[in-house]
Amino acid sequence: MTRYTRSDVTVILDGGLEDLVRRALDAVEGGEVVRRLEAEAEAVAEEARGFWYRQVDKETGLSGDIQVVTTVSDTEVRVGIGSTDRRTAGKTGKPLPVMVHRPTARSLKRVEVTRADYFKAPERLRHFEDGKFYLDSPNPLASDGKYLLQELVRKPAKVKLQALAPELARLLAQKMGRS
Amino acid sequence: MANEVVGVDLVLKIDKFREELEKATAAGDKNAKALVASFSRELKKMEKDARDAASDAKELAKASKEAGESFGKAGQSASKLAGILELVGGADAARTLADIADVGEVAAESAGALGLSMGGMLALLGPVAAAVGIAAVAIGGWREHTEQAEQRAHDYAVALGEIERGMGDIKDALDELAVREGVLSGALGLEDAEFLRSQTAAEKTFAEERGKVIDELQKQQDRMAALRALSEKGDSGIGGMFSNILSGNTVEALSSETDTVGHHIKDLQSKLHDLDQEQGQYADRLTDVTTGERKQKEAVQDSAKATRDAAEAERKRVAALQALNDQLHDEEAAGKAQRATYDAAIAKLGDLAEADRQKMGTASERLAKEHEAALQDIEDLQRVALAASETATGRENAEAEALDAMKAENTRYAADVKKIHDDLYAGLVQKAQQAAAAQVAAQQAAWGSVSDEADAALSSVVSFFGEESAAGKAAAAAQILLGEIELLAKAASLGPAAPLYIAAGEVPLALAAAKLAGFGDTPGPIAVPEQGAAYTFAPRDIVVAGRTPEAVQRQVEGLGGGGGEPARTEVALRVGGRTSERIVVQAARARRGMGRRTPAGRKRRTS
Repeated sequence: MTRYTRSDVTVILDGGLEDLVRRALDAVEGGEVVRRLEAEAEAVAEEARGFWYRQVDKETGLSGDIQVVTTVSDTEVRVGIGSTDRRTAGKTGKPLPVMVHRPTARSLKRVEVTRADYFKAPERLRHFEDGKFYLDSPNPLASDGKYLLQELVRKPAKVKLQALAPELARLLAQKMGRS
Repeated sequence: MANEVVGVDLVLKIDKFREELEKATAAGDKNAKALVASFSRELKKMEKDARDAASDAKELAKASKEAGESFGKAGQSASKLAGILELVGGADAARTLADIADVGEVAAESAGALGLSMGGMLALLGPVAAAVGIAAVAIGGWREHTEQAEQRAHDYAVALGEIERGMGDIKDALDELAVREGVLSGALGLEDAEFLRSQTAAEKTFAEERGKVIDELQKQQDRMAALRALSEKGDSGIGGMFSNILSGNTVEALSSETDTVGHHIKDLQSKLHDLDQEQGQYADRLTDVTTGERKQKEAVQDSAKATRDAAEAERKRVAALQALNDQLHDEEAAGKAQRATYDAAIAKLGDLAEADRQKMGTASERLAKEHEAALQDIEDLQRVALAASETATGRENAEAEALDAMKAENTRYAADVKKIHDDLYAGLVQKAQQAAAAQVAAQQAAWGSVSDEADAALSSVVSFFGEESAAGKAAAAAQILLGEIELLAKAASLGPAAPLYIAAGEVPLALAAAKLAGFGDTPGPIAVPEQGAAYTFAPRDIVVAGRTPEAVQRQVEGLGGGGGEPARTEVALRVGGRTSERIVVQAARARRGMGRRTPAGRKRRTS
């Protein structure tokens, strides 16, 4: 999906119409630059999508929907990489995907066990609910507790951009007639 | 513009890039023209300074091989894009990496990449100055990076201190565990020994790993110190380069030196980058070690707690057993006391029983005597009863004898009575027989005359029909019988008898008891003469008729031959379809007319 803005007007394009406008953009300055930026962003997004739900317990399909949105205007090209989940986290008003993090190293997970195993375990680990026996067991996904959006999207995107910056500058200079 | 996604925006500011590019180009042209005039004067000086700078740059390059990248390739690229690219983290966290020198570098690279002619050497003065600026910025960044590395090393040292303290806690926990194990050696000895061995091995592993990390950090700090020294030399080299530029050395020398410095800086950045990665690896290893130690410590603490819990449970169980043992002791003592009480009570009961036995002995003796006396009384009574019984038996025998005598007397009396009865009955019978005989005689007298008349009539019939004809015989017999009946009816004043038909052959040989005087028995079978015969029988006579002796014999044998009073038997005659009863009635009527007895079962009419 690509958004094109000029003054107060914004046009969001995708599909065949987007291709048409892209070709027109390639004819003038910046087309190749936008493509390179989007390619790198899409690589980051794809990798983030693949790893997002491997590192958390709950999977709703919302926060892990990582997409790339490109906005083109007269003054700038903005390639956004991130979650499309628009939910907010409680009273803070912060976007919920920002709050998603990996389990910490000491994370526990409640596991149903037999009655015998239940009474063998220390009392502090026991939970009895709805006639079933549970124990707090080490979470198999226990990790460093870091935030996924930061680790899977922002940091890789910065690295990609820094690596790509000289080439983008050269392309822009070419388009601007500095040759 | 609002973000469509929550993440990061890569922003390429085209207008700013264009503006900065134009500005950098203009500045480059102006600086080049200004420098051309001074190049002729300062060329030699610059060459010398350039040589010095090259020498310093070599040292710097050598030192940079030991260092990691400050910005790295990414940092280099980012610096080149300064002013035109910005990283926006989140909605507001933008960090601009703008730098004029970077823009110039970008422009220079762009021009180089596009084959910009070196003929316009003056146009390069701007980029050359910018390249020198890059070196200064890079070294400055490297310094900053070195300080950060030192800070991280300090942090690692602090973390190691924490690890040391953690290991001290682990040691304390293990000591406590060993104490617990000593307390509970009987129940948990084997498992705890195994656990302690595993803990010792884990502790040794962590210590070795920690030692390695510390050594590596120490080496890294040493390299940092060397780099810091070299950076100072780099500063002086760069200062020389600036001096050369300002003194107007040749562009080629400056360019060469600048390239050399650039290469050295790149090498330095590469080394710094490697160092940074290495530090990152050490940091990861330290994190792993810390995490492992923390988990191990938690496991030890959990195990220690489990051991404490088990010990506490064991202590409670021992206390409970001790309490139970005390209770059992108390109960045993109480049981002994109760047993003594029971023994005393039993002894007392024995004494009482002995006294009772003595008392019972006396009473038993007395009762035995009384019993013996009672038995004697019973025997006396039995003897008296026996005597009385014997007396009663004699009396019964006498009574039986008297009864027998009475029975004999009765028998005799009955015989006498019977004899009297028989005699009386015989007299009565005789009298009756005499009366009957007299009556029969009278009747016989009357019958004799009638018989004579009948015989005469029969004779006349026979003579009429002849004796040869059977029909004539039958007719004669019928005639005879009819005549007899007529005579009987006449005698009885009964009027004429009904015609009597007798089938021929049925009465030709009538065998009947012969009418004897006084109704006596026949002396033997009587053969009816050819002409037939008519007989009168006495009451209770038995009449047998047959044509052959066998028939008569069979009939006689059928009578039964029993004793007693003979049954009344009448001759069955069929006369004109009437039964014999009718004939008997008629005969009775005839006899009644002759003064005879009425048949049995009929009352004589008296008027």
